[in-house]
Amino acid sequence: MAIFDEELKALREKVLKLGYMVEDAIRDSVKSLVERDSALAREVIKGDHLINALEVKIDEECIRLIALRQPVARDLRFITTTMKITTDLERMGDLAENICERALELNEKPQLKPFVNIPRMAEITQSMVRDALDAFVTGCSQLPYEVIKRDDEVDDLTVRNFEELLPLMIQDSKIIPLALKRTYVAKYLERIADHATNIAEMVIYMCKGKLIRHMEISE
Amino acid sequence: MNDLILSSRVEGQVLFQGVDIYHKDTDVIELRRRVGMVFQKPNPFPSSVYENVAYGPKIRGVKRRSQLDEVVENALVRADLWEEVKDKLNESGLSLSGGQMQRLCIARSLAQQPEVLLFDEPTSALDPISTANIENLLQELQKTITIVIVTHNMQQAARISNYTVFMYLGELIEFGDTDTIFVNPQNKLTEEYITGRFG
Repeated sequence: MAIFDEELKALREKVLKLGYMVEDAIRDSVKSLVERDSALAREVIKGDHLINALEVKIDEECIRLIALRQPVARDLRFITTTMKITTDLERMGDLAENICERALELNEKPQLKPFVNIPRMAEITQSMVRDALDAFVTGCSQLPYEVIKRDDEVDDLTVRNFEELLPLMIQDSKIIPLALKRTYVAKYLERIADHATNIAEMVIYMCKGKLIRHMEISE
Repeated sequence: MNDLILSSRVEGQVLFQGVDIYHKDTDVIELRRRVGMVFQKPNPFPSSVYENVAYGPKIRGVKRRSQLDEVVENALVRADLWEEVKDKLNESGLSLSGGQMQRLCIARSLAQQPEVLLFDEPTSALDPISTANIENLLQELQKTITIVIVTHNMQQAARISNYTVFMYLGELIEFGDTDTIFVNPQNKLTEEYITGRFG
């Protein structure tokens, strides 16, 4: 294999590694909340710097390849896509960290009510992240389009989560701080799903050379 | 003339302004005036800088010295060489540096007021600074003259052209906007070639 191909392969593997780390962070952050596991939350917060470091490393590698290899066509689209989705992944890591911070606060107090919407949102969001990265690796398929479609479900659940908490807050204003923190968590997950959508859109660009951001998906 | 070369023959048509240049009625002298050519290796005539540029107009019948002076100066200015050679117009064209000689050849073509200029790898024998000079010059000239350049340097094609044709073993593989060819080529062979994965 040519040197450049090996470099691209190594870069792809680094992105995947970053993806796994972020997926773990998201899963553990929600677990720390639902299972009231503060030790786990602290672990995720502590691990975020590893995600940041890998993001920087990938960026540096992309810049190096652009400078030294002058990529064009699919190589260029691959490297620019990598730079953009790495930023999205790193932001997801930050949001997982935010979920853990809210978990630490919520775990201190008695549980308001069992979690229903948030675990469901986490499940969909994680599948979006996983599939977006799968599409990045396996190339052109319907997968990124499906990821984009799933974002609506997460948006709906964010709204439902708030609507279910609202009557409780009206009934008893003392629970407002706790209820608000739960809506924040839903919002963080909703943002993570948005970043997964960004990745899917960039993968479509990488495959087709067409930027579809801010457009209605027809396919 | 190509038919005179052993083992070569001419087929098909090359249309220039709608007229087949291989048609027997084509005036090839006039054709060579309208379509100029600059080669890989600078090839000034073994005569003075002035004579190199004045040669074409003289053949065309321009005789008055003052008119020739004007044509020569104009061509050298357009070829971005005037400032460097205005004090040595009588020195041999072969005494210039590689990049200057190449610009002299461009000036020689420009003096003929061509409609099209063909460049066959015009910078492959030049250093990076001379290459940049020639590329800047081409950018300037392309405002008034159609330029066709053959290059094996992908970055050069990407840098200086509006349209790119990829040809392989005599076949036209892909033609398109340079942007499209280098960001999202439609043909697999084009992609393999420009990304350096050929063969």
